[in-house]
Parts: sequence; structure tokens; C-alpha cells
Amino acid sequence: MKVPTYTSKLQRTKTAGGGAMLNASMSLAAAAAPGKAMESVGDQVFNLGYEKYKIQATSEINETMPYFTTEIEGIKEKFKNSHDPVQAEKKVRSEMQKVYKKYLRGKTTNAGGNPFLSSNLARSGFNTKANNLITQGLLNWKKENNKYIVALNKTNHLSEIKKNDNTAGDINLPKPQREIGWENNFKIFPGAKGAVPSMQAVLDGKYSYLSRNNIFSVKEITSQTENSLNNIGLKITNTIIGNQTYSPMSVSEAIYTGEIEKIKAVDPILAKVWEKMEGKQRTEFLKKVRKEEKAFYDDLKVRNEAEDKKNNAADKKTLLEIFNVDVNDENAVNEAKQKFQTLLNKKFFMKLSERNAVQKLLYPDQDDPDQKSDQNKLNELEGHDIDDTLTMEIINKAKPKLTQIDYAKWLKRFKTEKSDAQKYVTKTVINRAFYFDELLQNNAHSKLVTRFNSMRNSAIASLETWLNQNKQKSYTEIVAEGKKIMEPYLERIEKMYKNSFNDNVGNFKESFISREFRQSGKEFTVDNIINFIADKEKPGDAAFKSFRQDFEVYISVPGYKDWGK
Amino acid sequence: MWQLMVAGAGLSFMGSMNSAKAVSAAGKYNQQVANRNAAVATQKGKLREFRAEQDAVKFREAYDGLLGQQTTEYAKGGMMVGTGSALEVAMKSAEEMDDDIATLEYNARAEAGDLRDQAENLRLQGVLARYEAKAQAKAIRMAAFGKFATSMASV
Repeated sequence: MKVPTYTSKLQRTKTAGGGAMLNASMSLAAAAAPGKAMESVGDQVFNLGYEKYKIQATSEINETMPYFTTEIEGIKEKFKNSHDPVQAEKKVRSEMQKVYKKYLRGKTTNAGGNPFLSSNLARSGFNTKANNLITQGLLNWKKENNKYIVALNKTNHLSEIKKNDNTAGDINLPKPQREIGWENNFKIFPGAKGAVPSMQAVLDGKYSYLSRNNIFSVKEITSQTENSLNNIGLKITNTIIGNQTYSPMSVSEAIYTGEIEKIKAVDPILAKVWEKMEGKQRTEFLKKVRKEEKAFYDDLKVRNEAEDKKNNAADKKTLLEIFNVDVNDENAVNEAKQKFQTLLNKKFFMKLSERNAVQKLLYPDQDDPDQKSDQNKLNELEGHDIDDTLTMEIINKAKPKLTQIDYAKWLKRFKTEKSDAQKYVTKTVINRAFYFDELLQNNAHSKLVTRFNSMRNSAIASLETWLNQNKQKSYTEIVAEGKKIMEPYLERIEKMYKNSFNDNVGNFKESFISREFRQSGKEFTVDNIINFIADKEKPGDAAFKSFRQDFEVYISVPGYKDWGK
Repeated sequence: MWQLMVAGAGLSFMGSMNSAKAVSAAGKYNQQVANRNAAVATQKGKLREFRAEQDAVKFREAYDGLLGQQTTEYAKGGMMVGTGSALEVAMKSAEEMDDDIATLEYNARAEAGDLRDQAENLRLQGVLARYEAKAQAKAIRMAAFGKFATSMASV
């Protein structure tokens, strides 16, 4: 038996079931899109505002810059060519910074009272432009200032050069001072280059210093040296010509010869100038001096002629006034005498007759000016003068035969004779008798000096007393009186010297020096002692020197050779 | 002027912040989808193992039927069941059935393992999607702050 069974079997799925995978996903970009859109709108709004903002800032900057530039230019101008350029540079920088900050901080306002720069953007833009302006401006200014410093430095040097030129060329200054002025410009000290600048400036002359340190170019040095030489040379020649020290054209003539000694005779610095000059410069210089000389003398001639003409006319008028004087009016006569003297001083009278006429008019009591002295009397007086026997008595006796002028002349000569006689007696007759010059040559014999001086003064006083009582004595008589006064003194002087010698010999004998002298067996005379000392004395030997000076004084005293024998 | 600039900068900033927020939300959503897909995959794995067990039961039932037919046939043939060749054939059949059941179970476990891995992969993708969105949102915010600050500085 076969039992039917349900056989149908459905196949189960092996993979299905449990859920399906989802593919849905959210895109990040899509999620962000709305926000991005909003951001974009925001950006557009911002950019719109920013553009306007930029335009306003640019406008403000453009409005501000001219004011700012003007102030900056003003500062540059203010400190340009300052006397202290180094300090000026600092000031320019600080003043520019002040102005810059003033604008940047909104302290500067426009016509509406608002700050020029209202926004950060404006300030930022201004900052960039202003910085450029200041930096560039400062650089340019510094460049100009540096040029100015160099120029100023040159000007200072030129000023010193000019000063030295003036000193060297001023003939009224002492020669050493002028030499220094010359050296200060033209000296060349070979070792100066190695020295520090300050020392170099002292050692070297200006031109050498400026050339070595490249302060002046070669061209400038050459040109300036030429100027200096011309300035010094022309200043010297100008003054010499102006002073009329030499005859007309003699300065240019001396230069023309080219001989240094001749130019030196005119002026030593002028000779140096000439030596320094080159050929062409010399020619030009000579031309200038000649021209200058000619111009001066031409001018002088014209001036003198005019002056002479003027003076002559005035003097003639004065002469006329003198001639018309009222001889009875004493005051008028005195005034006329003064005028006459003035005309005499001016050497107005060309004709002697004219002068004598005036003299006769004003001095009627005086001798006739046309009268001449007696020649025989004049010869007689000359003879007395030669013989030293001229006295007042002789001159007075001759007076009637002499003109007033000759009489006055002989009176003057007599006074001179008397004075000469007094001098001769004092110096030769009295002073020599005391051997005073020898005594004063060393410090020894101070006691003798004192005593002799007293005696000498006494002798001179005696002479003066005698002269006062005998004023009309001749030269010969005065000398004779002098010798007479000295007679008693001479004897005393010799004795005093002898005593002094004896004292000194005593001292010499007591000294250690004399030991050797004694051994020689020689006598203690002046000559022996001096010869002994001369042999033994060594430089710096005080004892020998002292004795030598003591004994040397006795040489030339009469009879000294016999002393000590 | 500056008011317009401030308004624009504010609007732009707000837009950027909204973008960031939306990106972040999208990332979160994408992660949720991935997590859901991972749960499905896990579910599928479990289902696969459950079905393998059901198949093994059915297989055994089928073997029991076969063994009954064999016993019946041997008995009809006068063969002693449980001894000699009949036993060997029965043993052989039993061994083969065990082999098939083992293969069946192995296949089911392998497929379930793959599905679990897929689920894990989907979860990770979700995490990454979320992280990416967060990062993008953060970048948008940063950019927005930067732009706003720059804009304000220009005013």
C-alpha cells in the first residue's frame, strides 16, 4: 500500500529579507547653497559700501595731499641753506614728522571743521602717500643739504684763505705776521699727510691741505691759487702805489725786470707772489699793475692840478690880504704875520723878492732880508769852530756883520758845541778815568763800583756847577775844566785800585789755587796771575772764573804792571 | 558708507554660518542613513544563519525518509538491516548527510559574516560622512569669521 503524501516543496529565498539598503543621501554643497546665496548678497552689499568708502577715502586723500605737501615744502624751504646744516637736517626730519602726525591724527581740519582724513582707509592711504613724500622729500633735501654743506665748507675755507691773503698783502702789518698769513695758505709740509686731520690742518698750508683731502678739485685749487696770488699781489702794489713810496711806475718796473731781489726790495711777500706765478699769470699781473699805476698817477696828477689851482687862488687871496693889512692895528698885523708864516710853510713864495717885501712890511724892525752876512766874519767864526774855541763873546762881536738868520745859526752851533763838550767830558774824561765800563762787565768789585759811582757823580756835579757859572765858554775851555776837576780824583782812583789789587792777591794766596802758582816761583803780578788762571781754568770752574774776573779789571789801570813786584 | 559695509559684512557672515549649519545637518542625516543600512545588513546576516539552521533540520528529515526507504527495501530483500552491507550503506549515507549539513552551515556562517562586515563598513561610512560635514562646516565658519574680521578692519 502506498500512502499519498504532500510532496510539493517551495524553494525558500536564500538572500531576500531582512530589509533593503537605502540610497538616499544629502549633498553637502546643496545643503550649503542657501547660506552661500545669503553670503553672496552680503558680499555684494559690503563691496558696494566698500567701493563708496574707497572713493571717499581717495577723495579725502586727494584733498589733503596738497595741504600736506605745501607744509612739507615749507619746512624744506625754511631750513634750506641754514647756518648750521647738521642741526637743520635733524629739525627738518622732526618737523616733517610733526606735520605728518598732525594730519594722521585728524588734528588738521578742512573748511567745514572736519578732519581731512575721516576714515581708517583714508588715513591708511594717506600714510602710504605721505610716507613716500616725506621719505623722498627728506632724501632730496638731504642731498641738497649735503651739497650745501660741501659748498659751505668750501666757503669757510675760502673765507680763511681770503683772510690769510689780506694778512699777507697788508704792508702795514709787521713782516712776521704777513709771513704767517702767506704760510697759512701756501705752506707745504711733507709729513702732514700722515697726520690726523686736525694736525694736518695745522701743519699744512690751506692749499696743500685742501688738495690732499680732495676738498677742492684740482681745477678749483688752480683757479683759487691764481686768485690768491692776484689778490695778495694787487693789494700790495695798490697800497704801495697809493702811499707813493716809490717814484711813479717804479713798482711795475721792478716786477718787469723779474729779478727777485729787486722785487724783494719793493716788498718781500710780493717777491714770493711773483715766484709762485706761472708765465702767463705773470704777464697778466704785470699788465694789471701797470694799468693800476698809470691810472693812479693820472688821477693823482689831475687831483693835484685841481688842488694846486684851488690852493693857489686861495693863497694869492691871502697874500693880498697881508699886503692890505693896517700896519697901525696890532691885532691885524699879528694875524697877517700868522698868515705869512702859513704861506712860508706851504712854500708858496716862488719869488724871493715877494717874500722879502712881505717880511719888510710885517717886520720893519728886522734886518733887511736882502742883506747878506760879511764873508770874512763867517770865515772867522768857522775857524773858531774848527779850533774848538768858539765862544758867545766871539759870536756877539760878529753879530753886526751877520744877518739875523746867520746869527741864529751860529748861536745854535755854539749850543751844540757846548753840549758836545759836556758829553765828551762826562763820558771820556770822567767815566773813563774810573774804568767804569770794565767794572760793570762783571759782578765783582761791587764795593769799588759803589764808591767810584759816588766819586763820579761828585765830579759830574762839579762840572755842571762850573758850566752854569760859565755859560759862554768854548769847547776847549770846557774840556780843560773837566780834566782839572778830575785831577784829585785820578790819584785816589789809582790808589783804590792798588789797594783792591792787594786785597785780591791776599785772597788768591789763601786759596788752594795759589799752591801750584807758588811752586812756579813767579811774582804775584796781574799778568802772571791772569796767565796762570787762563792755563788752569776749565769750563764751569767757579773759583778760577771768580779770580780771573777780579784780576782782569786791573788791566788798563795806569801802573798795574808794576803791582805785586 | 560704513553702515552699508557693516550690514553687508553681517549678512555675509550670517549666510556663511547658515551654510555651515546646513552642511553639518546634511552630514548628520547621511550618517543616519548609513547606520540604518548597517542595521539592515546585520539583520540579513542573522536571517541567513537562521535559514541555514532550518535547512539542516529539513535535510535531516529528508535523510530520515531515505533511511526508512532503505530499511524497507533491505527488509523486502531479506537482508538483515544493521549488519553487513546494509549497515555499510546506511553508514555511508549518514556520513554524506553529515558532510552536507556541515557544508550548509559553513556557507550560511560565511555569508552572515560578509553581511556583518558590510554593516560595519556602512557604519564607518556614516561616521566619515558626519566627520566630513563637520569639517566642512568648521571651515566655512572659520572663513566667515576671517572675512568678517577683514571687512570690519576695512571700515
